[in-house]
Amino acid sequence: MPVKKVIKVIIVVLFFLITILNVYGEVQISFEPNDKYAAGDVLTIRIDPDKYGVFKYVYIYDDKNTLQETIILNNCKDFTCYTPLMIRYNLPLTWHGNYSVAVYDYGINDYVLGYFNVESKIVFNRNLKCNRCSSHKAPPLTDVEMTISASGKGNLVDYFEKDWMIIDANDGVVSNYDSRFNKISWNVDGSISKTYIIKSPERTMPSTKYLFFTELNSRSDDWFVIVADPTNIVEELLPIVHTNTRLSNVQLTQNQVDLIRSDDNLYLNMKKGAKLESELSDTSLTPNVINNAYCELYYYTTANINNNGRFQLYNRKKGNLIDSANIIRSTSENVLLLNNLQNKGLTVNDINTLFITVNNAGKSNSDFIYVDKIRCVIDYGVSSNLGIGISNELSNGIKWDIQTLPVNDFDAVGNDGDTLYYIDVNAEGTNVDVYLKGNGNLISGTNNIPLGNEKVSSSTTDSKVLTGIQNPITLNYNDNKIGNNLINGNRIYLKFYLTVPGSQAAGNYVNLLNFKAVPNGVIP
Amino acid sequence: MQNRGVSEFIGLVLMILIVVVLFVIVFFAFDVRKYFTEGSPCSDVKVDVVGACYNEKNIIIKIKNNGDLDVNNGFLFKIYGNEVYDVPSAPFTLLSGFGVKEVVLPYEGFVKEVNKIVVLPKLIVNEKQYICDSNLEGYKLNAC
Repeated sequence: MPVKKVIKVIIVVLFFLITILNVYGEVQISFEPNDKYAAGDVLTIRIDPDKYGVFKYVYIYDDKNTLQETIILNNCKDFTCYTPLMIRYNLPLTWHGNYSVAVYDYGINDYVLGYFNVESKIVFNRNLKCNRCSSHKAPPLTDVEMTISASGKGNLVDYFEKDWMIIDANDGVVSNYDSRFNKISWNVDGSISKTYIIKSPERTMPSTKYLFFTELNSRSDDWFVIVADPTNIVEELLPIVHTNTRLSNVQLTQNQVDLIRSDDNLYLNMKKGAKLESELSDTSLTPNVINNAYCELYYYTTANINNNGRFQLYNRKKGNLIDSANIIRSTSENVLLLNNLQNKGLTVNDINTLFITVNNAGKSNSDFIYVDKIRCVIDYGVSSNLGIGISNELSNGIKWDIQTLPVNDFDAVGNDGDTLYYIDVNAEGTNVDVYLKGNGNLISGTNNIPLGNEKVSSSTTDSKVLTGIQNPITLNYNDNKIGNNLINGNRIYLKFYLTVPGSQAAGNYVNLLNFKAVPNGVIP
Repeated sequence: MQNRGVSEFIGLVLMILIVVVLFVIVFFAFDVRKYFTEGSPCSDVKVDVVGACYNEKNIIIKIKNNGDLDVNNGFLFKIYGNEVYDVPSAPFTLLSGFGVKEVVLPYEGFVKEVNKIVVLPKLIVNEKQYICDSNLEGYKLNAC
């Protein structure tokens, strides 16, 4: 037989034998599309067991052999999995470096390791700070404290439209970029946060959205800021890191919360039975009316989810349900909307305590809900001119002329006839409630008269306050409402009373009273 | 011509047989299961279970190494429940000579009641893995 033919036969036979060896050999671990990933990517691992199968628990270690994650495989017979498996795992944003996947092969009775690499990913963030600023909104002609953050090394550059003017560059270098943008830059290394002061432009009609973006080796997503009348605020409320923010009763990390705060196509995995709950961020303003409010859940599901789960909004943790919707199956990203919340029981008092839950009531271990983002948008109004005017006698302090003790509900000096104590309401665009509170007992040296001995009665119609109930003053505004649903120009007449026991030591007793006006219905 | 044709066919068959036989010899010589149970160094391994119990989530086993030989490649546990299940310790599990270690294994519902557990120490010596099964008596488990 010719030598060439012999070699050909040997090669063909060996090929088949090696194929057989694969079946009887050891598990094959491969990564798709390859073993290079960026933090936040979906790690895709393919496991091809040999005929002896693999242990259903798969471990991921870092390069110091510290366990990072345990993945439990599905579709296994007891502890052993025999069929090829595909694992998809969201790589945390904090991961970087070399990692290994350990799969126990019952064929060789040992772990087989597969290695992959994760490159760190730059995560940009931006925060606006000023009176009546929100994440994406600023009042006109206002100095805004702009903070940008990222992690990496190189030249950090923030771009802003030319209608905005730098007030304080904080060591940044400001320069022209193009006909639309200026830029401010710093040389940075590591995880950094830079703050500068920038003045917002004049308001336009209609309001203008201005574009900001940041570069540090890569470009951030667009960030729009609208310059608009602060009496009408559109605010985005997102899940916050809070002890109330949990997944299956385990508090979420900052990175996990970041996943559901940002529209970045990175997902928080919710397996069967999982419950995600979070309080939403607070507004910095005092709203008096909600014009429109809605909440959105961005998600997708595995194929067998079909109305297995709910997206719910409560006015507070363990509070009243405002609205909810079933999570429907969607193998591509879908948005579930709870809208017109202002007509479903959402009030201005609820805005800072809003609480969302998402639960996966799937029936199988392979039923997953992947949450991309949760957001609520509240369009609400605030009073831009709200205040009170205090009468001269009241602003000079409440005086008592007590000659003998004891006295019960003794009139303050200004109570005589038409009271000299009154408050005028200044409120444009809203009705208001007015409250008062004391700062503590009346004190003279080491002696004091309990605050509860001081009482107040009020009227908005009777300057003599003849019919007002005498209520003890407390330390809380909530206990001492002296005006309800008042309009601009209303006056609140007040009279004050004091009870002093016979044993009280002589002296000049002093305390302070505070008054507060808030939009009608708002908690002071 | 006819004789030459037969000779070539026989040659081909012989060639395939030779390759297969050689492969089988190599296959078993290297023993892909890497499962060695007898002889040194297993005879020097003296491992005892000093405590074990299980709950609805885990099987917890406290192991003591009474010899000076390190158990350097973890353990394989044979859990006698509804059936016999082989459960390995986590990767990079080490038990040094005369050391004590608590190993936590996953418990799953299909195991049902755990009757006993057998500990098989795994060693790697000269790049060869040994699974020592000299003590198959096992340890009886109770609920934690």
